[in-house]
Amino acid sequence: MTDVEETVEIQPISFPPEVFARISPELSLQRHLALGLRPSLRRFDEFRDIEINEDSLSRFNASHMMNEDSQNNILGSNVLKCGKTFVITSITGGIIEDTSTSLDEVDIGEKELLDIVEQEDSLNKYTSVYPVVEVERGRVGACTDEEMTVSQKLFDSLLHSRIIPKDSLKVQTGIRTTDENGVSQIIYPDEVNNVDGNDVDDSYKHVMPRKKWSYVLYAKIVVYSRTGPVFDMCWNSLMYALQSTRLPRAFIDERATDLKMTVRMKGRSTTIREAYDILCDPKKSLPLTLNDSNLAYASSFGIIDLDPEVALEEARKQEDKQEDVEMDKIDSILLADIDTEAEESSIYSTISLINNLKGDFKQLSIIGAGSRITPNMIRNAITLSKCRSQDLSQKIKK
Amino acid sequence: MSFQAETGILTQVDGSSQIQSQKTKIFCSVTGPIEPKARQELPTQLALEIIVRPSLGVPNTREKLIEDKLRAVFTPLITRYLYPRQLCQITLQILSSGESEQEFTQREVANSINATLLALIDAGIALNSMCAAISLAISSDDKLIMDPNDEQLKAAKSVHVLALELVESSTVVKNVLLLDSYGDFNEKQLFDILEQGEISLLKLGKEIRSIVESKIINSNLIIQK
Amino acid sequence: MNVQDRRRLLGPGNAKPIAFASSLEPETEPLKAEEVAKKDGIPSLSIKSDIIENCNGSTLIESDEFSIVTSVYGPKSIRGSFTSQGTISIQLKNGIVEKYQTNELKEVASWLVGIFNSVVNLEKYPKSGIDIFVNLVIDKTNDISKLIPFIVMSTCLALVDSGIEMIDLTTAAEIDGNVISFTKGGEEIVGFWKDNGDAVFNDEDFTSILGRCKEQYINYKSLMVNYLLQGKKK
Repeated sequence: MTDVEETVEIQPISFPPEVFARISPELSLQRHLALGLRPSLRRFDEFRDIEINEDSLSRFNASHMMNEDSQNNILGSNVLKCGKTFVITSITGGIIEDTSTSLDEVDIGEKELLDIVEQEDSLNKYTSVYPVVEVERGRVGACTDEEMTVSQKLFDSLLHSRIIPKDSLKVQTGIRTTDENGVSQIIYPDEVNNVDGNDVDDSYKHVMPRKKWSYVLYAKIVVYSRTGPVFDMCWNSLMYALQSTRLPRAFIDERATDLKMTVRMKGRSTTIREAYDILCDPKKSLPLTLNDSNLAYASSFGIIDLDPEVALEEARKQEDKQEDVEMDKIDSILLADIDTEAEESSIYSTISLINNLKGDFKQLSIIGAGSRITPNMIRNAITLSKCRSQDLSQKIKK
Repeated sequence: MSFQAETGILTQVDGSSQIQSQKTKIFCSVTGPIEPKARQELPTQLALEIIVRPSLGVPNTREKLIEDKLRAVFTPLITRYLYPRQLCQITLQILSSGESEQEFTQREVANSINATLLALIDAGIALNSMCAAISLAISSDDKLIMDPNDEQLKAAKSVHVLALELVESSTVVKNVLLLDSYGDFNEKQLFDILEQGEISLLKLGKEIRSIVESKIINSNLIIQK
Repeated sequence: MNVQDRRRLLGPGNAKPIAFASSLEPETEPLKAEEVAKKDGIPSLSIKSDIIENCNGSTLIESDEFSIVTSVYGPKSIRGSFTSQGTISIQLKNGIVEKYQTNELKEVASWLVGIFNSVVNLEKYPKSGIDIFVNLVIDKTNDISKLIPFIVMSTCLALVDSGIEMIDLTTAAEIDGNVISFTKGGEEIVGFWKDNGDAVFNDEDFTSILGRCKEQYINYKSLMVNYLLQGKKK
């Protein structure tokens, strides 16, 4: 039995900041903002610093050991650390036969016509990489919507940014010849030209395969320790990784050059062509040529209205001193580089952009599901993103 | 931009619409509010399930990203607190995309937004405000094209989708719901898009209102009979 | 388009992965492998805990040869019927280079579950699951047996970092493809793994391997203890 006389005292409960942030992220965020800080203790317009580890994993760039690893098929890589989160991007490749008419077969007149039709900057002259984003979150099974949308957005943004020209993924095939002593040698016609200075192209022309190949690039992007939205980090890491990418030289065996056999089967005759086994040179590689002026880096912003009622006493006192502040005017603020659960879950209006060094945009998304997005906000975001792009572009040694 | 739209075509769902703009043709159905699955349920608000089916093949990441954009537009538009612990299912079937699917989604996104709005109104789901969406492109000679066709998209330097929240009988723009841009463009062009887009979308908003109005008048007639 | 997995962007189906021709120069690798094997001593390791924010405990162990990230999620509630003690699940994942087959990794993972079932105080965690993810981010050894001691070590340290109650620290040692995992100062064996290296036929050979493994285990364990004490001082 409980004592009836006992008085129940209701006491305000207080929580440590991290618990409070968990139960009421919105209130916690507003309290922080009222103090002029963010839950991460960053200033409103402050980005997280980014540390990158330039390509140390790929086959052709690695300083030691890694390049002797015969299984290593990484063509470019990047490790990017941003706050608590780190992203590992690795670029691998594939080879695909070009089924479109190879240019040799197109006569000159037709080629000129093609050039006129395809305008200088036309989108179909560019390609993208196929990204697979994995965000580690302690679960197994199907990939999440976030992983899917980030992958697709990376693909679209890269394609429309016109960074990778299709031409730079064309394979310049070499030939492996074996002489009478059984010693193999790989000849790359373009290299021979460069060394001797005279035109030896013709001597190889008859053995060169008539088929054309292109590289296909894949990017595996793994995000560890996710603390907030990840698109920016994935994009930036992909940019760095692409700049470090080297494409292996590829060759075919001379025996395979346009070998044709006519076979008769049950009265029907068919021509079987030797399947080309295109192989890549284990040592030689060429850098991936990118459209450098279009290289761009991503940044993102959130916009949130300040709730004057939430402001703590001290903050309110300060405000009282400035009497002429209009009380009914809602203040909204721009936060750079959204991170932490509190910010992610209570900010509905966002601006995300990718711009190059000149400040031109490659991609921009504005979502106004919360606070009103004013032209001024957009302008501020643009100014900050330009600085960010410049800063990020200097991280990589050229 | 102009389009033909029809609402209330399907009888087994709460709301439906069909929209055609140039070669883009989209069907939208809305079911809700209904009982959600346990994992979809939100304690204080209406949950949204958006499904986009492509005109060709099976849905993949491309459709997921379209769904994501639609969700961004409609989450603030629907008066979600009116339907706690309930679900609204929005299904879009692209009948004809009207653009090269490999490279673009702009026409599909813009028209899906308009189609969804009409279907939501048809279903009688409470909305905070109206919206209207349009696709845009900036051509290689820096001209702004409203509602570009496939050829214009292909030749464009940059492509965009703009959706605005409209209030007061579609005469005032309340907020930018979505601006999704790809390609090569600068700050001046960005604000051009916002300004020119606003003019077109206010016009379009009126058009959408007139479609809704005529539908209400028609249904009143049926009731009076 | 690839219909099999429409949740991922896999690129054109007819593209072949890049195949490298075998090197034209004579291989120098076998010699190096021997050199590595000769030194029984501890490779220089870098250990770092609490590196992943969205989990309960994590550890990164790196050397010149490998980099292993382990994260522990849990104890968290599990669905289904009542269980009187916690359940451990371990996932092993290939890093940037897809080196090992999925079933090979699964085999190692289930072997690891056996070890940690005997060192984690599972009675303390009824109705709970402890999910452990081991990422072999970088691996130049090409031999998973050589990695296992460090996988055990990083998993153990990640469990410590997560604050999950343990009965003892465990780690493993590897000699000539024989991997033995010990507890209680080397008095008890909790796991034995062998899938390559010379077969051991007689007791004497095995005893000598056991002895050398035990020595290595004690070295590794003191390394772990030192690391944990250092962290405590801070």
